[in-house]
Amino acid sequence: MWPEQFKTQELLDQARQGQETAVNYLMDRHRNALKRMIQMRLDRKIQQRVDVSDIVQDVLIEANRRLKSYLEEGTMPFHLWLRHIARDRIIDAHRRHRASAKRSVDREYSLAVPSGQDHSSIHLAAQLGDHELTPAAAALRKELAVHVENALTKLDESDCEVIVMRHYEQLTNQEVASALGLTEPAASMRYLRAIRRLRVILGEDTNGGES
Amino acid sequence: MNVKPTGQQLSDFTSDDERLASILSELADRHQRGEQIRIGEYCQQYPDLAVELRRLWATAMITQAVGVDQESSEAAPSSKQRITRFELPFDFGDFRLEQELGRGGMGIVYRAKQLSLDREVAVKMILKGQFADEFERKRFRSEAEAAAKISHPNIVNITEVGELQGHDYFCMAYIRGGTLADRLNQGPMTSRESARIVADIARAIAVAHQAGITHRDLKPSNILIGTSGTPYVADFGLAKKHTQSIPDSGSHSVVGTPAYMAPEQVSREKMESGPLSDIYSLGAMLYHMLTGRSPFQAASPIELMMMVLNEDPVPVRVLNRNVDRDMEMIVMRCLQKPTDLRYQSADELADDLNAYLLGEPIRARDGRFSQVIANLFRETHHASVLVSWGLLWMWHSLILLMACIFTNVLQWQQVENRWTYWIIWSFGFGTWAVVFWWLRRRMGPVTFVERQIAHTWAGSMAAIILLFPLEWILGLPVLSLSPVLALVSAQTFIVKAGILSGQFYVHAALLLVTAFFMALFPHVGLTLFGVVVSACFFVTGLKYHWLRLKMDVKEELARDERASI
Repeated sequence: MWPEQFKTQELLDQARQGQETAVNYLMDRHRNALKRMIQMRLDRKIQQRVDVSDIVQDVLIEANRRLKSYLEEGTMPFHLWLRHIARDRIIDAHRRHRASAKRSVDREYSLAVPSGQDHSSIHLAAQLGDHELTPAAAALRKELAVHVENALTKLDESDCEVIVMRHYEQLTNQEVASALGLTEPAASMRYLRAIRRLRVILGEDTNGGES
Repeated sequence: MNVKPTGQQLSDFTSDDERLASILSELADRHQRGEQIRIGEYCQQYPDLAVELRRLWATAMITQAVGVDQESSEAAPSSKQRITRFELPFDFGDFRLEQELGRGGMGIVYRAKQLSLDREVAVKMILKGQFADEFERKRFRSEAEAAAKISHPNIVNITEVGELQGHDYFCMAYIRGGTLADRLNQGPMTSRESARIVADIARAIAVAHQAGITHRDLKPSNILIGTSGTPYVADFGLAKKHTQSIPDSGSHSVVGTPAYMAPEQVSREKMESGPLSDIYSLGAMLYHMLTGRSPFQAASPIELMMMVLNEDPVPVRVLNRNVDRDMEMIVMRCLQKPTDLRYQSADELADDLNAYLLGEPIRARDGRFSQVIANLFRETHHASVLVSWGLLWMWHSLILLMACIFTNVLQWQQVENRWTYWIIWSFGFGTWAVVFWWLRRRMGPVTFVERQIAHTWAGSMAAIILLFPLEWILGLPVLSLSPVLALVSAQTFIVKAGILSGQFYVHAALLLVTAFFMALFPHVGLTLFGVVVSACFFVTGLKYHWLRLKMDVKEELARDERASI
């Protein structure tokens, strides 16, 4: 999910030499990954009120402001550093909106996909889109995705977090450790625990549990 | 890669969980780097952990697949799309939003008052996240603006396209009444009423087509019926963007409704969808109006799609006895799967519907016979397999020709030995068959249809090889049964005609005739056969090879275009 790091390193070097375009490009190429990362974590109700793109923008502005000190003394890989800033922003957003969310979120609601024949096309679009998969395979994967994502919501936050980091953001164990401030063995233990619990929930979902 | 020992060392002094954690993390890391993981090897290495390791790894892989899929989808899935509902009345720039009229895949429509002009309008707010990026958004805008330029009494005019407070919106005339979909919920309509409505819509569509704009998403919910019964086409030109770039899986785009979608829109394979797809959709709506149901109904969109591609709809009159034959003909003409069998313009359809209303003869009846013939000779949807066979068939024709002439020459040389001929035709062609199949497989996976055809070929080869012993048993001179070659080949072409393309009936007929000439002129019979059969293969091969080259060029252009964006 995160952009390829070799190129990032190159851009960072150019940024150190004061190239403005490199900085812009650097920020820009992390935009999508940041957006996903935030989308996956920001409370749904808050997402109705706050545009994720706005938070991304805030993160990038903040990163720009702190870039100088990062370039001088930063030890963390760039994308982890960005994630770090994003995490703070997400916590901020939760803090700011949770109280007010309770009050007025009720008046807003999600645009649920209406049922009926006209709208089965939404489903179809998704299946047609992937050139690699046959429609049946695509449907199967979609179903699988629903299963897994349902299961993820049943995990507690720290388990869910580590799974998302590893399998959605494609971070390595080392990166997870660094982002969570853990040692590598501790990070791998957390991953093991999360996968175990996920396994149990998925098992319950599909065949009523396996011995 | 010398990674495995890590776990081994650990095993001496750490707990099972720590070992398992370290192995699992390492496996996941390696998988992320793109290495092939053979979980069996790890299980052998750590037999005490094998059962759980295998189970956890499977879970990790499922999650990984889902996670990667998720990533490849550009925007948030449709179910997660949010839109703010305004507290009504809501002042939105020049508009005062007063009442929610409806909602669809793209956004919510409000009845509103345009304050500066003091008139009632409808405002459609586009869903946030509808556009992947600024580029798409601009394209949407320019297309909506182009659509705004069409002016016709039966088209809902877009008067404004814009962005305000971070929302894309467009403004159009407000029509009192409901949609055709609402009307159809109450049941079918009379033939005359349906004809009148669709004729009006078709005239409007014709004007748009002349302006170079295709609707591409005609369906009952896009047709508004005014209080006086006048139909209006809504959402013009807005569907275009969707069909042009169908986004990745998990995305939210509405591609058009499969129930009213033309086969070429469904398959996206050979042809671009264009104005004639709108004709199909008009026919599908007409069908729905007459029968109370859409032409195809299925449990899932995928099945529906298969039906749109492969099946003929139930005839209108089976579902509704009151519809007369002329009306049925008009509907069926619109619903033809090959585009060239449909009405060639929306005006033609409107003319026919008017003729029907006036009790005059309709044109849909014309050319019924020629349509049957044309249908017979048409390519089936399997014909696309021929594209990968073009070059091979050209080689095949050359080899056939050489073999036939060579055999004929031997015959002239008075070679009487049955074994010589038998070896040429069995081993010679057997070898070629193996090479042929190998070449084909190198080009990519072999489809089921291709297997079927390979079977008929194998069958014909077996028959041909057995001709030699038959001649021997019957005491006939060698090669005296050679006209049967043409009969056998004709038969394989008839099979191909059924599976692939009606044009092979011509080839089959040619070969059947050739059999007689071979019997009449045995001296040159084999050469004659060689020329005819190789011509059959060569011409077809050339045609499809050329098609392939064209497709390759097109694909390359498309790729360049994508790269340049």
